[in-house]
Amino acid sequence: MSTSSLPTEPVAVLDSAADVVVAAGRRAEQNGAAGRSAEENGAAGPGPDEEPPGDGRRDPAVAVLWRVVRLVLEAAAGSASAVDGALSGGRPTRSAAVDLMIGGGAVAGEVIGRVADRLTVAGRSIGAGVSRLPLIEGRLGRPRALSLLAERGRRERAAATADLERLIEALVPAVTSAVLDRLDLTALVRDRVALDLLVARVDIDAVAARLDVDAVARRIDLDAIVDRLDLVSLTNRAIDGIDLPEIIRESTGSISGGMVRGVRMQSVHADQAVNGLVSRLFRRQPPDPEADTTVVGPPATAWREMPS
Amino acid sequence: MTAPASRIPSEARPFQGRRAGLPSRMIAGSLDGLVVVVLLAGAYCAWAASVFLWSPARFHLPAPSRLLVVVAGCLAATAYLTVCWRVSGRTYGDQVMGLRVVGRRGRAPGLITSLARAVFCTLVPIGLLWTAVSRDNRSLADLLLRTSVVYDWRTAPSRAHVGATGGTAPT
Repeated sequence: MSTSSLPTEPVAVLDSAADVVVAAGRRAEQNGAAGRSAEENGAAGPGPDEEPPGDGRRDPAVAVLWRVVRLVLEAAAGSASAVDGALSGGRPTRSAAVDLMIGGGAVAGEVIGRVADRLTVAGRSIGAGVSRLPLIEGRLGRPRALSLLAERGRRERAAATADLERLIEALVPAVTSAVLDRLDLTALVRDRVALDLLVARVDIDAVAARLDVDAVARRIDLDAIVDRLDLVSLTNRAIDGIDLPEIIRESTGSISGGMVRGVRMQSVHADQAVNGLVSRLFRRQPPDPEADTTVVGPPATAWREMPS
Repeated sequence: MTAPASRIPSEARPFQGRRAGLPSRMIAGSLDGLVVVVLLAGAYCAWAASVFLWSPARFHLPAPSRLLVVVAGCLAATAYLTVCWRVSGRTYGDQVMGLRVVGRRGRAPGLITSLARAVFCTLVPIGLLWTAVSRDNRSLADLLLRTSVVYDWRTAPSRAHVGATGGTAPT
């Protein structure tokens, strides 16, 4: 925001103040970094959104810590803005107070970081000098107090991780349930999910193959279905569709046809028997049953080759 | 009673078109005799009904003479056989037994041949016995009129064919 355009609203004034503080802090960081870079035959300067550069000897933990703090503050600011917008019914607005906090935090973090850097550098220098003394060189290890402090830090982190997991386990189901209660999932799926594409990728044949049709059939209440059917009308329709007299005629004809075929074959065999008997009586050569004596119609060979 | 060629049992196919023997023809003749008797009975009933309707008060069953019965029977048999052989080559008895009467060309005999054969079979029924004696299963009527009685279980009449032992078409 430019200082030439003077805001009149209180929130805008706070915004302007926050922007001024943040800009001042960043300028101070950039100036300090530029000075240090020049001293060290410096590298290229950082971008406006990058982390404030260190002097190379600065502990990276300070920069990471500041990133985390800034992330938390930004998340808190976004959440506060969303809550304010939801409760007031208007569009969420960015709070100038949060910007002020971030700006102040940036400056404080920079100052703390620099002080920590100086202390670290001084401590390292002193430690290095002491460790080079003739009587102490090689005998001075890691201070026990620092080891205990690091161990305490690890335990605190583990406890914090466990607390966070318990918190997530307790919160996620409740939050999820509350969110799902307030969502119309059916409408959501209908409006936002391409059901046709999903169904097109489903292997219906595989589903049908896994389906236990017998089990499904066992679950069907056939008695209830039958009770709802009009069996009399169905039977009448079935009988109307069946040519029952024709079936009776065909069955009767097949029975009588079988009887007639039997009588005919018996008479044919009787004819052959009589012919053989007469041939023996008159001392004739008996007729050859394989001889083709056909006088009408196809010859016997054609009859044998005719498909049944 | 008859069937298409594809529905004829395989064991009966080799006999199709061959001359039938005495038992088959006797059974067919007996069935035809029954048919003639039924016809005569029907005619007698019709005669009696007509008499009753004409004069119910003086009605009594007609008592035809034996000669009249014989003559009527011969006439009915001749007419029945003539019409059946001329039209389809088979009587009711032939149809039951799967037989067919064919002329010299393998077709149904003509009117004159059918009439002559009917008269001969009616007056000399014993001529059928010559079928057993004949080498070619021919009766006296067949020998005189050059006809044949063959196995034919099909509905449609068979076409003429020169047989192996028949020499020419059915003579």
